[in-house]
Amino acid sequence: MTQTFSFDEAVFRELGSELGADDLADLLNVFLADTAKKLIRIEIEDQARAVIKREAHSMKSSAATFGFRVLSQTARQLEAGAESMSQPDLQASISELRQAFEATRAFADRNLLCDASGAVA
Amino acid sequence: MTAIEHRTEELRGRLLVVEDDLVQRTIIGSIGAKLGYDTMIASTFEIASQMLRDEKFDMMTLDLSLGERDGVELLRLIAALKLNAMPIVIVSGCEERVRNTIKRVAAALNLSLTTSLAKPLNIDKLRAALKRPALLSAAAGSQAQAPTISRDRIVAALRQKEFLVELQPKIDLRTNEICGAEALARWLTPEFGMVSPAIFVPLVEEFGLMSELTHAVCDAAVATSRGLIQQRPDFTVAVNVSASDLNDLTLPERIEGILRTYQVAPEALIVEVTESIAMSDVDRAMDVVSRLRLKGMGAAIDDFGTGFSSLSALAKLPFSELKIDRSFAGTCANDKDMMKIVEASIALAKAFGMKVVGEGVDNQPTLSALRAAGCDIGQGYLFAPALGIRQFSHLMKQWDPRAAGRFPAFRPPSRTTSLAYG
Repeated sequence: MTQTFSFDEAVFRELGSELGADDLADLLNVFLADTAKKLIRIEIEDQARAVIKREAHSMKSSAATFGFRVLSQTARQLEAGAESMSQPDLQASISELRQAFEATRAFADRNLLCDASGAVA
Repeated sequence: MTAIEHRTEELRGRLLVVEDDLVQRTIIGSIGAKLGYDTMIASTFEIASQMLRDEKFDMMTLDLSLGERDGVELLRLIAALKLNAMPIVIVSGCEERVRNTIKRVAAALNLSLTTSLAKPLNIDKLRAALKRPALLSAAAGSQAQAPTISRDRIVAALRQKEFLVELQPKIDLRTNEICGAEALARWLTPEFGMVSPAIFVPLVEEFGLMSELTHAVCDAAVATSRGLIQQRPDFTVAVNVSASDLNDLTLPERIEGILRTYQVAPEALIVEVTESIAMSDVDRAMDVVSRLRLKGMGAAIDDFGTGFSSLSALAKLPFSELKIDRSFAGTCANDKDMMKIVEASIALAKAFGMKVVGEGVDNQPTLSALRAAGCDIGQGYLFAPALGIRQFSHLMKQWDPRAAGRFPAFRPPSRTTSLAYG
């Protein structure tokens, strides 16, 4: 089973030092909510491949901004293959992305959001 | 559309963030507000275009992918709205080649694209880009109103020897010594002051006086640099000829006559023909260039890369020097595609035994990149702009090869007349 979560804390801290703890917590919430919506769009049955590609592209960048490595890499793979993958491969890639997101959300809830100021101090 | 108010004492004006991704625009908006901008956010092409039409902004960040639409369409709209002075920072997850092409699109539209940032965003770079709107592209210069100039006025100018030249140094990149200069035509008039060649050359063409002007400029170039050539026998001076000059098959004899008048060796003169002119009539170019070479003069293919050279034509034309256009040489340090063109041009020139001159050496990274690529000679503002003969002689005297290019080796004294450097 592939790794579902990896976190680059230095990247997260740097973002926090630029934005401040409050803005960072707000932004993280925005990210989690927005990414959840994007995933739902990606998971719609027979979703257009161009839409999947665009959402994955955007998820790749945003996840990297926070230091969520696996989520960013999984999104990148989906973006790269969105137009060429076979249907089963595409489904596998999407469910991998779902797992990576759930792991990220669980980690964020546990470690980053309850005490965002502590996490970035 | 969302608005975020500035959160500092210092005010920087209004920032427009065009970004379809919620997380990215939240970050950019937050950094903008912290830097002192009143930030407006447009999440779609349509909102952005409406805001650009209705309101004024001091800075803009632009994501290149905006859902179904793209940032290039918005760049075109910005040009159409004549917002050329507004600094634009590109923020994009596209690959570097695409971002570089878009930089060129912005330059062609004469927009003030300052920085192109890759995603994921590096916050330090974003802050720096929003703080310092140091323009990468040539800022849109104010176009002076052209004075009305008649044919008789130009005939009189030729008779009264009002056309003169300024010399821009060419630096040997192996030794850092000044090895020659390009002579650039200037027209000093009592009534208009210094008239830019951008104004007088088209008029001279229109009035059919080009061969007279070329003669006057060659004469001025040889007369002006005669002293320098006597001091330094390896010094060369380059002059430009136009398309109509190539129609005159006696051009080599006329130039030879000028050299004889001033008792200057033909080896000291290089005649520059632009690539597009040489390629527009290869047979004539072969005739003229080969006879210039037979008489001992040098011949350079100028603005190389901007025209369409056929390789077989290039092989037939015995040029001694190839000048890589500034649009490639001047940007090769931070544009990998341009670097490849520069490297290919240098390899081509060397294969044909030509010396290579890089134009547009305006900064240290460009110099380093050209030197590393094996370019023989450099020319550009890093060394010096075109100078009058007195300033040029002064530059030659105080030139320190160890300092050349490591910092602006020479700052010309400020001038009272405004002068468009060619």
